Amino acid sequence: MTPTWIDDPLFLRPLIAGLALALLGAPLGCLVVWRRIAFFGETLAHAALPGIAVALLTGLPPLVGAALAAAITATLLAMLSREGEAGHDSVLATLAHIGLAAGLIILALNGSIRLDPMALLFGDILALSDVHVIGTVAACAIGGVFLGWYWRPLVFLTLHRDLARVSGLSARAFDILFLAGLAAYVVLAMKLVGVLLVTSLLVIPAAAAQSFARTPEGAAAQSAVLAGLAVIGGLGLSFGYDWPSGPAIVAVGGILFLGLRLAAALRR
Amino acid sequence: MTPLSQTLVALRDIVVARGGQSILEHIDLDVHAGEIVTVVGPNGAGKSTLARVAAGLMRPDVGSVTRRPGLRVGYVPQDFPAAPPLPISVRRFLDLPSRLSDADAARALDGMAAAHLAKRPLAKLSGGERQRVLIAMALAAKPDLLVLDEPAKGLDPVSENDLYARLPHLRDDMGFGVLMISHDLHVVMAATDRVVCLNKHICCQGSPKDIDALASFPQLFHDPETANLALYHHRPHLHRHDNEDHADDADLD
Repeated sequence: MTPTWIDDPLFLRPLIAGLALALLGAPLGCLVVWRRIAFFGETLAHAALPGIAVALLTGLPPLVGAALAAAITATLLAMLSREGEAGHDSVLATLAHIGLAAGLIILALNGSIRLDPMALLFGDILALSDVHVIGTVAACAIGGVFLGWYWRPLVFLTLHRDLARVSGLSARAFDILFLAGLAAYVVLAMKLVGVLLVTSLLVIPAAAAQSFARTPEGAAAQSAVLAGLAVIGGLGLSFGYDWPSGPAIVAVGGILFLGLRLAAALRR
Repeated sequence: MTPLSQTLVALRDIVVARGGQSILEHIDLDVHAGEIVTVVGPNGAGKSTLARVAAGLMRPDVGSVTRRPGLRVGYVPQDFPAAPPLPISVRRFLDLPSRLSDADAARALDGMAAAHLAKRPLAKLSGGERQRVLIAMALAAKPDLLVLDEPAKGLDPVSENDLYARLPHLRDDMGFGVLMISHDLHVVMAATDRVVCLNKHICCQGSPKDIDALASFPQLFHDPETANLALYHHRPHLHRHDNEDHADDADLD
């Protein structure tokens, strides 16, 4: 017997938004993994929290507050780090936790904000509206077109910065473009899986796909399949068995990651 | 090389310093079309920095770099990782930053006798194979100027000799100028038109024969005590077979 929630909009909305985010997150996540900047995304997501809190206080849309905070953080990191690096470990960790702490303090001290911190931290898929779903799908489509257009230069710069620069690519311009795109993705994905889990949506499928891929595009495609499976499986567990949705998506992705990595290790 | 050949890149009064340490001091250097210029010098002499400045990867603190308008540069870095961060085959590597036709890819790989490597993953190449692929990559850009930073690094003597035998032929075919960094003058002599001795500043330059005959040239590096001297002193196994006398073996002592 088919469960009744399968064609429920409450299930379909996060499923559609989640699949769009998974498809865009796959190639983006591969670049994040190859560039070793997973922690950068984490820091952006954490630092968006005070932005959301302040937006709620001042009546701005939360998405705008999150985007502004992410933009400020990305700029700070770009200024604080040397060329070609997206920030030192210690700087990233410090900014991430300052952001998290500041966000929680602002929320706690302002009783007027009617917001569940848990929803921010782990995602709140039930709050997704049709408008939000359409906006997410449209933004992911635009992001996908951009990423496809600039895929080769980004891959080249990731593979060897100096070789790419000698060929005429502007490393700095592509860095800014890539980090801005990453920040936008993190802000978009936060609603689905929450501040604490948003980079896992990027990093886990991409990391799992590295075991068997032979080309950059192959890695991105495999990563997209794995991310899609994680979203479908995670939301299924969430609706079927009342698992919290963000953690469920991450858990399914994590199981796929461990399984593939073990299979690759055993084959060797 | 024609006497009045075209200047590809002209460096004037280049000064580079990092963290209070002087790296390059008042360098003047031209590379012309069809010319192979080899820069030799001890460790820390600023050879790689000079290559990066000439390739346009680094801006000097003082001085000017004038490139011929529209100059295409091919660059072989010293530090390409043995384990690249992402999975890619040799053929797909050549498709960066834009797609290369199969004919052009085959020509570039053939030039370095690397056609059989096309389908191999970049991560599975030996040091010598990787070096040949990197040079093929630089050739694929149809460069006017080829900047090679220690291209023989990690090569066995046979591959090294093969590379230096190949370079003048490639130059004749494609007409590019070469700026090559090397730590060993004698091995590259046959493949070089002009030698530049660098130790932060240019100590001397001239034809390989002139430089080789210049008995005092190690002293020009201002550190006659260092072990670096051995690099310029030793007689290599693959020496050229001209009728040079053997007096120069002794006159450095």
